[in-house]
Amino acid sequence: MSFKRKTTRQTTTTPLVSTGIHSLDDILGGGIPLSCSLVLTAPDPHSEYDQLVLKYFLAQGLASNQRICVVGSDTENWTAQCMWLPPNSARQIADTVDEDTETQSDEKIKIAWRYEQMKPFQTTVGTSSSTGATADPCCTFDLTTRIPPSVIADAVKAQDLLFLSIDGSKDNLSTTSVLKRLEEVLANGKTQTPLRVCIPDLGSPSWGDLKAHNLLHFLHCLRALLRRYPHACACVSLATEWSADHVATGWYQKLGWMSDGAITLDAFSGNPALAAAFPGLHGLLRIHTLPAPTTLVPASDRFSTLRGTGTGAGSGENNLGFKCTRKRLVFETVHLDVEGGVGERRTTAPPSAVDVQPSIASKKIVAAVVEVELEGTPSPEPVAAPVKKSRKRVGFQSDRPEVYDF
Amino acid sequence: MLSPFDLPAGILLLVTDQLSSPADFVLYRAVFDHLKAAKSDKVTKAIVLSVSPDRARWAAVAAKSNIQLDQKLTTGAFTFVDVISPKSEPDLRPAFDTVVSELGKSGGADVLVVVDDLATLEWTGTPVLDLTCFCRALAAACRKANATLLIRQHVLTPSTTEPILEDLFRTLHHMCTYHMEVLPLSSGRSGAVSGQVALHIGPGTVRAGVKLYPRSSAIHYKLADTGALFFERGTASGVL
Repeated sequence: MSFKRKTTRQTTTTPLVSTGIHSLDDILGGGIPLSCSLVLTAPDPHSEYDQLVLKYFLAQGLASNQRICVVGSDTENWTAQCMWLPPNSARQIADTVDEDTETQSDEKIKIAWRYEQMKPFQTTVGTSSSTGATADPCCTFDLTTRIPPSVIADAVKAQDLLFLSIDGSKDNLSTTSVLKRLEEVLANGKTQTPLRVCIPDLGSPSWGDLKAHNLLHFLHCLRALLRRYPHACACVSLATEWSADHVATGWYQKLGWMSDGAITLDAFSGNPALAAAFPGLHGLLRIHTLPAPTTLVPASDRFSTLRGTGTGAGSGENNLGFKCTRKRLVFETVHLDVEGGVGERRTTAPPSAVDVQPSIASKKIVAAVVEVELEGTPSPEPVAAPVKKSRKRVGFQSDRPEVYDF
Repeated sequence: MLSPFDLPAGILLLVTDQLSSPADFVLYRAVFDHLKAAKSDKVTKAIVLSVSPDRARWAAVAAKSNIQLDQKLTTGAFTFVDVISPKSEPDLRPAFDTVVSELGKSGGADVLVVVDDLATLEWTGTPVLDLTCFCRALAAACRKANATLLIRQHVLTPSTTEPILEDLFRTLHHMCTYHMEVLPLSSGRSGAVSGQVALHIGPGTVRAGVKLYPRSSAIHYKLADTGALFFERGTASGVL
């Protein structure tokens, strides 16, 4: 084993900004690095989880007094739909705790003594585990609270919130003109505060007729722009028609090469079989690439708790999914259910040896109780079976063991 | 060139990679080893033609290998050329002229030219024919100056594990002396091993004693901050 000399390296650590979602920050390795672009795709046409992530991104920027530029059509109405901090922040902690313990209803579970010290099984990172690496601490937003119009108005007045509309003419692509105006915004603004570029629904009909190579060119140029103005970062979500993998050959991989980070939120809405297989989740998260602006290895590989690639040698990567509860969107690890289709783990005490009557915890199966009597105990012959057969019984008859009585 | 592979100088090396196993480390290692090999009697020069705007990343990774790229830029040992510009359509002619002039200025120096990468240009709309002409012209210029040319090409593996062979890849493959493939592990992602590297000989090259690594016995590598650590498949070699 060779000892590595610890050199004092002047690492140019890029500052990070939070996405507004704790678990997504963890997956990215602390947050989105400045000068990087993140592309979100959501191929499911029945839901808009990528736009939800973008709203979190915008709300976090507003809550941290950073500058934001929203590009698209009808951006004012879209911004007004964003979530905000809960009105009473003291209550918010209790609410999140209540939500997390929704499955832990029974506290009187007998746990073997060696496991008593272990924490309950966690599938996601908590709100308190912020590494402090971001320039802005991640706020806990509440999906039931809308952003107050006064916040938007104040930000617009202070020129911290800018709306860029799309205008494309016949001989000028919408993407080219957007890039030009975005460059003007980046060049003229203050460089001390981070600027978040928010592009919901890239490629939607309001962007005009675009081809695949136009979109890729746009993403590539956007990344180049962010490198030239490193106080900014971008979060882009593609329109549904551009989010599926069959748009072009190797579409997700091309998106991954054109941007710093590319992830897909694959919701189950159109696939009831998957929804039944993963009952606690609303979709799976696929990671194509993660930002690594100044290093060979993305920071997420080393720091992410959810992905689990940093701890130990030879460990694989966790599968990740997401769920949207009433108050928030959470990304968590995916685990398969207990075999046998039982919803909960069996924790009741084993029944006595004589009368074996297995209790089935699931309420789905209606009481078709099977009663098995052990050989040896003399059971009287059923005299006259009552007409009302409420329960099915299989009884061994001790004198005629080859006959089963149903 | 490029330890642990003992590739000779003056070749055209095609490096292909996939999204799950990017070959950035190969390019960095080739350039940094080349720059470090400079001695008092031997001058080395590296020219990087980059489509992605990653000058800061080059500088950051070079600093970890104790190379000051800014210093090399001023002395002319390292030249960085941005091929694509957001304002106009990418024009390959100025980039080619820059390379030719740099090759002319180098004198007797040992030059390494790196092209990173042409697949992006193809995907953003540049016709394949233009890219093919550019590659052929560049290869000819490098051969005249006895410089080593390293071209990086992304390959796509959309649904199967076999990469699809695009036209540009086929053209480059015909021209190359050696083909280095950076592949992900066939068993999926792992925390310890980042991927594997295979080395094949180009279709028109005569075998000359360079050790080749077919896919079945590809070398594994693990990415660290300073670069990649290579080890044989099935061994740990002090890395794991």
